[in-house]
Amino acid sequence: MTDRTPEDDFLEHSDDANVGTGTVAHDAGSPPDTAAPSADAARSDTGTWSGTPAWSDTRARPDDAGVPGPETDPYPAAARPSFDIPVSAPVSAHPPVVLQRLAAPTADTHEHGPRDHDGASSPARHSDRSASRSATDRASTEARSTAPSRPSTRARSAAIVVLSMLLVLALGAGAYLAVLSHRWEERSGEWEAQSRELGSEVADLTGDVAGMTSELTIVRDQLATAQTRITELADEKAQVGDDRESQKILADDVQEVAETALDVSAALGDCVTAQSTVMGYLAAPETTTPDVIATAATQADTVCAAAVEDYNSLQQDLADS
Amino acid sequence: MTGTRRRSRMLGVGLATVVLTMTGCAAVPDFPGPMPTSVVPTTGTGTAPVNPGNLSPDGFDSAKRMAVRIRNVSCDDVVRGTGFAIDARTLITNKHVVEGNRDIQLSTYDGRDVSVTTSGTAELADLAIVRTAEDLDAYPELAPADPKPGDPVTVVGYPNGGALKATNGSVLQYTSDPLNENLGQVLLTDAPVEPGSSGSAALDPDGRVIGVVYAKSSSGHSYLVPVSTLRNLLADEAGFVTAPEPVC
Repeated sequence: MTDRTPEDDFLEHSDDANVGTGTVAHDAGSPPDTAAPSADAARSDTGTWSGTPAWSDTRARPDDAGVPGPETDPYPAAARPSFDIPVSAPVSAHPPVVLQRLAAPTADTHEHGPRDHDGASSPARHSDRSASRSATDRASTEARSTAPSRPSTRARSAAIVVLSMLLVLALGAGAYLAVLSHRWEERSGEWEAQSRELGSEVADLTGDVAGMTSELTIVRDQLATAQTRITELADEKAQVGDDRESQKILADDVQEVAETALDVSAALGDCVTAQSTVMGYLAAPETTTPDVIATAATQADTVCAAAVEDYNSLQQDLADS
Repeated sequence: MTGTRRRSRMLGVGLATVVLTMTGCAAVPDFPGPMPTSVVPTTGTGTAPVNPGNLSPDGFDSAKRMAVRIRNVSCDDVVRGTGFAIDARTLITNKHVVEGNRDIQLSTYDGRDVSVTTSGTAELADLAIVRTAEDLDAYPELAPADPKPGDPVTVVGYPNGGALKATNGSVLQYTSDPLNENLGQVLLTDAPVEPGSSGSAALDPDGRVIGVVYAKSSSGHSYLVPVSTLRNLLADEAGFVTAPEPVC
């Protein structure tokens, strides 16, 4: 027990694994501390097998391995695994399949190796070996119950601390997320309320815009009509102004014609007067002299010629205008 | 050896846990900030009028508001033409519109009468200047340079002494003055004009004056005095002289 080598640990471990293969195979998650008693429970007090292990691998079945030939050994001794695997390590730290593989050939070698040298196994030797193995198991159990218990306890304590911290952290994170979710939910509600309010305003404004657009269209039409009317009125006023000025010019012309006609009329009157004078002289020649009559006739001709000239000029002006 | 590997594994698991925790924390949003008092922007991008400055109180645009109808009452006739304002109390028109007048009468686009104080005619071009006793409604800007052939042109005036009207066309070419009333070349455009359009302002797309209508060809084209000639006459104090009153 004091001078244990890693190979001894391995052999012991392999032995346990071999013995408890059926149990380990079904309870691979249990650590060796718990696997060993179940293996022991499957044995009798004399170290012989009383139970029926549920061998899952026929190659490792003890009956078949009674006379194992070299050609039938699927796991030669050279395939031993590394000794780095600690004895005290939990079984869960090692994959169960690896345990099964490591245990089978080692058990065969450990148990049936001597028989290969002796040629056959005897019940006595088997009893001795069982006794010695029982002693070894007890020693191994003692060693396991003393040496690895402290790291396991320490690991369990550390795991409890870590898990507690993780639980506290998880609870804290959950509380934080709950508060955060509540805040965001409140904010979402506020946004929704504001969105609905703005949507209502948008609807109202859309209606207002539609009404104003329609009204603007009407106002634009009215403005265009008013502009057209303003332009027409301005044009009408301008035309009236043009006509007014033209009428002024025409009136001036008519006035001028009338004045000319008046002058012509006066000249014609003078002509008539002169001719009446001459006719009076001719009607009573004893009242005047022939010279006077000749002078009056000449003057009447002059006046009448001027009147006729004025008259012809007026006629010409009227014809030209 | 086993302890070292175990510690490394534990360290790896711890680091993975920390990384996963940090990643999860990064995905968790912060607490909502204070609710904004308003989410409505102060200024929106609606369909507001682009340039409401072009609208006058009565809806007429500047091109029409600056056009003035001119009535020249001579001894024996009434001549009608068009003029346009270049400032609040100064009009530009053709010389043959105001020549031999006994009286010049102005009326705006909306029929308002404007009194005339003085008038003057140019010796070297068919242009005249008329000054008013009252402010005019609007006046355009003179273009900095003459237009090029192909440039669009808009003529605003009172064709046949009738209602205010705007016609569009384009500058065809520069040519010599067929009436020999202008020094230098004149512009030929296809903007339709009529008697009474004399003195109308020819505008570019920006509403700036590029010429003054003064004649019409038998083919329906219109002749313009270039704005450069107008600028030269305005810059010369002796460019416009007061016309003598006619004796009727």
